[in-house]
Amino acid sequence: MIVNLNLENTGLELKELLEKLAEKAPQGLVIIVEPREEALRVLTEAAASRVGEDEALAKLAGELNSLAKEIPGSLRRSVEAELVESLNRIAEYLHAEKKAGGATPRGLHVMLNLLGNTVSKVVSSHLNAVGVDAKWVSAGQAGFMLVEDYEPPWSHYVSLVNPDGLKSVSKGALVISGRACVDHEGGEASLRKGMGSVVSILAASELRVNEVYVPKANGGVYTADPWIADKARVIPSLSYSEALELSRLGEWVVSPQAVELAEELGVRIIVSSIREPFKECTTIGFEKAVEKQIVKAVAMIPDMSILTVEGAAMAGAPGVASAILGEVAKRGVSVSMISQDASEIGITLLVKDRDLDMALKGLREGFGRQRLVKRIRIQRGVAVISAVGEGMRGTRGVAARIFSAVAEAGVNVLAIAQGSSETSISFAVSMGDAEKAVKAVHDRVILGF
Amino acid sequence: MRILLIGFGNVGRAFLQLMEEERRGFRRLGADPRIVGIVDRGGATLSENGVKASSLLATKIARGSVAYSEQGGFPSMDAAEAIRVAQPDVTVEATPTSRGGSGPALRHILKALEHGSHVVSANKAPFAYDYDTVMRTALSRGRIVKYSATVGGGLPVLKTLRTLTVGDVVEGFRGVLNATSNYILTLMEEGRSYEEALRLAREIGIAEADPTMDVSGMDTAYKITIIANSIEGGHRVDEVELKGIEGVEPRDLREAALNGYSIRLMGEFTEEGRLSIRLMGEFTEEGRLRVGPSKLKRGSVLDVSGTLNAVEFRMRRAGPVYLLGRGAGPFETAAAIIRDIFEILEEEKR
Repeated sequence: MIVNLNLENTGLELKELLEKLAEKAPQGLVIIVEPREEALRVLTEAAASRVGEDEALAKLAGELNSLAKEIPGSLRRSVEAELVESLNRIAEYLHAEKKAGGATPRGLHVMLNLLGNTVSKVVSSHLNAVGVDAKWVSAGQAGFMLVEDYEPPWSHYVSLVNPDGLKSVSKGALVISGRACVDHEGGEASLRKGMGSVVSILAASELRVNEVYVPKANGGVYTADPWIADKARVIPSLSYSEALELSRLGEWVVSPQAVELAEELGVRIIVSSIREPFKECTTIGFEKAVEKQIVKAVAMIPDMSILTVEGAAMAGAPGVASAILGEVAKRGVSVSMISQDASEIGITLLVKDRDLDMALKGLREGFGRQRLVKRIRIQRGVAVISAVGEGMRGTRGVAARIFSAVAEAGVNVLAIAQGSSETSISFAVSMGDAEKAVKAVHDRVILGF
Repeated sequence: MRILLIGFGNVGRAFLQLMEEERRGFRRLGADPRIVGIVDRGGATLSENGVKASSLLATKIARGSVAYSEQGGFPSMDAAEAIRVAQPDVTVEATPTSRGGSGPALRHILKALEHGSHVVSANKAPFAYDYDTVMRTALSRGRIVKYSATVGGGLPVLKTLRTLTVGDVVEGFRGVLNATSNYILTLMEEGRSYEEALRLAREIGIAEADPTMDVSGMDTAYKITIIANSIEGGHRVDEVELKGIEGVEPRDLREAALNGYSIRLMGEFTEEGRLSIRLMGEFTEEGRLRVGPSKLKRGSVLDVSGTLNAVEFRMRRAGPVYLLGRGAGPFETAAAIIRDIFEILEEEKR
C-alpha cells in the first residue's frame, strides 16, 4: 500500500492517521512524506538572510515539536534528542551559509533535505510507537534521482534509477522522505513542490501497486472551496484530465506532473480523509464519472494581473504570439492564461501579480524599439476562475450557462479562454468579484445542472 | 559560428545552458552560434544543426557519455578526431585541469589551432605549464586564444589586466585567489579545526569532494602563474614552492587576530618577475616562486572573508588598483567563456 503523506494536505497531527494506517497495513506499507511548504519557505528565507536565524529555528522547532508531541514515553525522548541534533545541524549550516556570503545552491539543498528527513524520522517513530517495524530513507536512498533539462524552460523532474532501495518494503513499513533526492553525481538535491507525489506514483508503479492514497484533512476534492461556496460537496470521481486541470488551479492535492504520470502508468489516485484514510472520497482514474455531471468543479487562482499587448501591425504578422510569450518566458514568468482577439491586434496574458513587473520589463525590452507593439496595458488585482468538467466537451450551451450565472451575480468578466480539450473554461474577474463568481458558477451551474 | 565543446562536466553543462540564454546577445553581433559537437571521455556527439542539450544530459547520465546520443554519437571518437571532422570556428576546452603537466588539454588546443579554430579555455594547465608554446602557435596560425575563465571566473582579472597595461606598467600584484581555502580559513577564525571547516565547506558545496588543488595552494599557484604569463610570459607553475593551508591551526588564526592580522592564502608578483606567496611583510629576493598562508592587516582591502576573491595590481602610474568579487563556480566560469567568445567575435570584425 502506498500513501502520499503531504503535510500540506494533512496538517501536523498525525498520530490517529498513522495508527490507522499501521492497523490496516502493518506490512508492505510505503509512506512518501512531504513537509509543509511553510517550513521549507522559512528555511529558504533564512538561508538567503531574509529571515533571522533564530526566528527561523524557533519556527522549525515549533513545527517539528508539533509533529512529535504525540509520540509516547521513552521513544519521544529519543525523537526529541534527534530533533535537537537536526536543528543544531541546520543552525550550523545557516551560519556556514552566512559566512559564505549567501545561500549556496548545494547548502540549501542539504538543509531542505535535512528538514525533510527529520520529518520522515518523526513519521517513522510514530509507526514504531504502535509496533510497526518501520524505517525511513531519503528518496535518494530509495533509488530516486533528480533530472534537469539543460534547455528552456529548464524543467526539473524525478526518475527512479535504482529500484533496489524500495525492496526492503516487504519487511515492514518504509517511510520515504519524498523530496530529499540526489542529483546525477550523488550530491544532495531537494525536489521542488509537488515532486513527492511524483515519487509516490513511480514507487507504486515499480511495486506493482495500482493505487496511491492521498489523505487530506477535509477528505476529498470539493466542487468548490467550501469556505466560498457553502454548498460545496466532495466529488466522488475525477478523470485524469479533470484532475490535471484542478491540480493546476487552487485545488492542490497532488501535482499536475503526478496526475499526468499516474495516467501514463495506470495508477489510480485515491484522495481520502485523515480520519478514514482507506475510505475513497475522491478517486482519480480512468473510470467514467459516476454522475452525469457536466461541470464538476470551479476553482480560482487569486492575485493575478492582466497584460494586454496591442498594435495594429500585429494583425497578420506571423510569429507575434510566440515572440510575446518568448519575451515573457525569458524573464522566468509563467503565463497562466492567454486570450487573443480574432482581429489579431491584441493579445491578453494573465500572469501572477508578483511577476507582472518582470513580464513588463521583458516586453518593453523586447518590443521597445519596434513598431509592432503600440501599447501595453496592465490591470493588477485580478483572479482567474476555472470551471472544470470532461462532460463539457461537445456539450452545447455550457459557456452560456456559466457566463449567464456570472452576469446574474453582477460580475464583470475581463478576459475569457477555453482550451482546445474543452475540459475547462477560464475567465478573469477583478479580485473583489472573485468569490461572487465562484459561488455563482458553483450554485447555479454545478448544482443547477 | 560553429563551436566544439571539449569536456562535459559542470562547466561544460553550465556553458551549454548559458549559451541558450545568450542567443540574443550573439544575434546582436550578427552571429548565430551553434554547438556542433561535444566531446567527453567516452567519445563525441556531432550535429551539423547544433546539438540538443536536454537529451544529451539524459544520455550522459544514463550511459556515461554523450557518445551514445541518438543525435549522432561516436563512441571512442577523441577530441582530435572531433576537431578534424567538425571543423569548428571556436573550440572550447573545458576538461578538468590536470596536475603535473598540461595533460591532454594542450593537445586539444594545439590541434584546434592547427585546424584553424580559435580557442577559449577554462582549463588552467596549458597556460600554467606551456603558455609560450600555446601563444606562439596561436600567433603563427593567426588564431585567437582566450583564457579569462582560468582566473577568477566571474571576476574579470585578466581583462582588467589588459586594460591596465595600456599606457602603464604592472609593478606587481598580490591577491586572494582561491575561494575554498579562504572560506575554510574564515570558518577557522571562529575556532573550528581545519577538518571541521573542510567538512562544512564540502557539505554546502563550496569545497569539492577532493579539495587537494584548493587547500594545497596549487590552484592559486596556477592562477598567479597565468597572471604573470599574461604580463610577461615565460613562467611555469612548477617554479612555485607550495605551502597550503592544511598546516594552519586555529591557534595561528587566534594569535594573528590578537595582533590585528588575518591569515589568507596570498599570491604576489613583483616587478622583477618574481612570484611569491608569502606571509605579509616577507619579501623574498631570490626570485623563487612560493605559495603559502599570509598575514594581512585586519580590515585591509585584501582582507576578504568567505568566498570572496581580491586582487591588487600595483601600477607604476595609477598606483594600486583593486578587484573584489566572488570566486568562480561553474556558471561564473561558463559566463567568462561566453565573454571570451564575444571578444573573439568583436576582434574578428576589426
